[in-house]
Amino acid sequence: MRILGAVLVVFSTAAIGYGGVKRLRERVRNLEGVIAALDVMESEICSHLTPMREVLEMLSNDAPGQSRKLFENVAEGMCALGRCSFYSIWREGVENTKELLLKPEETETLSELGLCLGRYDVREQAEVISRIRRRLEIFLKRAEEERERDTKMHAFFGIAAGLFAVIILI
Amino acid sequence: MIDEEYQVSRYDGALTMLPYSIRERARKVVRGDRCVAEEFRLRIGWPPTVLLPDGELTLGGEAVTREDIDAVVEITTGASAYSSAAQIKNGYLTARGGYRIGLAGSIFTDGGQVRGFGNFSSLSIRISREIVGSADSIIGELLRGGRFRSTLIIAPPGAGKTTLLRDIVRQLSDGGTDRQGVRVSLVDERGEVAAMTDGIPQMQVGRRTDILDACPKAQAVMIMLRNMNPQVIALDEITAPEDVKSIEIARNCGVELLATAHAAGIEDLIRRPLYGGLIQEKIFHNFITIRRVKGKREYLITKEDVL
Repeated sequence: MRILGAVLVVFSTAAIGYGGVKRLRERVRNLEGVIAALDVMESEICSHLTPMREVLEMLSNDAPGQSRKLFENVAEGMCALGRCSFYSIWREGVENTKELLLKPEETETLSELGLCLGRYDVREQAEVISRIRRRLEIFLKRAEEERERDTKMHAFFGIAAGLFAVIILI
Repeated sequence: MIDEEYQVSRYDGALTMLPYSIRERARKVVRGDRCVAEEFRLRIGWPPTVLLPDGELTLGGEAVTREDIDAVVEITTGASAYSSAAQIKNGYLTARGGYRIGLAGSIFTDGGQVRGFGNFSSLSIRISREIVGSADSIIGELLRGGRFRSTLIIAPPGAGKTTLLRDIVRQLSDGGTDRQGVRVSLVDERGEVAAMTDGIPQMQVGRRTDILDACPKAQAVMIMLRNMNPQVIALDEITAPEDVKSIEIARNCGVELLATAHAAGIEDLIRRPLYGGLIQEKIFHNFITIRRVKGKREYLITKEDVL
């Protein structure tokens, strides 16, 4: 019975550690997804002049992984255009897409994009999208470093915490 | 008698293009004024106004800001101003439902060519209204031997040229009890006449009408002439020598024309070099001038042979 309990405790703490690892991996995937979606967005807006609703609909279906949730949320918010500005719809969309696992600084950067999207000047939009993408690439690099650095630590501490608890309890 | 509910619904439709704070003020305008309102006007630094037949009525409250003007553009284009760049470059936007927004601000030029438009300083939202049957009293006079003859509608801006043109197009296209409908090619550069959305006209322009919108008029006339075998070509606002040239070509191909021109009257029209050639060449057989008498429109038809 004790052995079974000990195994369960170790499994539980290992699962928590693995959750941390998964979170680190997902953050990297989400940032990659958002950056790829911004590439598509830039091309659709600046080269094809595709209307914003169509761009959002397209990315809601085709953007990689969880990043599509962001565009889904913004697309849903578009019905409020007129009561709210596009910037506030975009910002709310970014803030409400918790699945992206963004840090506050990353959320702020992505929200800034809403200030220029949908404006008349295509060149200005291309510049801002490029700037935001470059900043997101820096965040992505950091997230990758974090993943490399912390993956083993999360796994180790997960199991170690379980073993420690077992030793104490036994 | 024009349906009052329809009149108010057009006003309410235009309201949706206003930023929220201004919209609330515009909702408070009394019903009688909402029926006849012609435009909303927003100018930075001044309270918004609504244009009524006897002048501008201020909506009060805070002065219009740059953000308000940008908001109208954002709402109208669905946050896609870039996709309407060609219209904005020419100082206007056509909105769903056939509303037209006129823009004023700074134009950017390069080598004498307009390259862009920005820093909007003011705008007007035109509350266009369809008056089905407005041409009832004159349509018969535009025919000779049962056949429509080329007609030019002359009036100053805001007098109702487009409304009349639209109803003439509808009646020619649908036909009547004593005449068959004809194929009409409608050149609708600014999208005001048919207000086409997703290929479907929002206004009644007739069952035999082919519409080409968002295309410069002179090019559009030639495209329709080559491809749609029209019996009548209709176009709003002759404004450039290219328009005149394309009209002459169409007329020489045996197509009848229906067009509008900005002028105070026929004498004013004759004095203008742009239109002088059209009159000398006898392109048009009928000239309709529009007058407003006690708030009602009156149409006066002059035949080419009395000029």
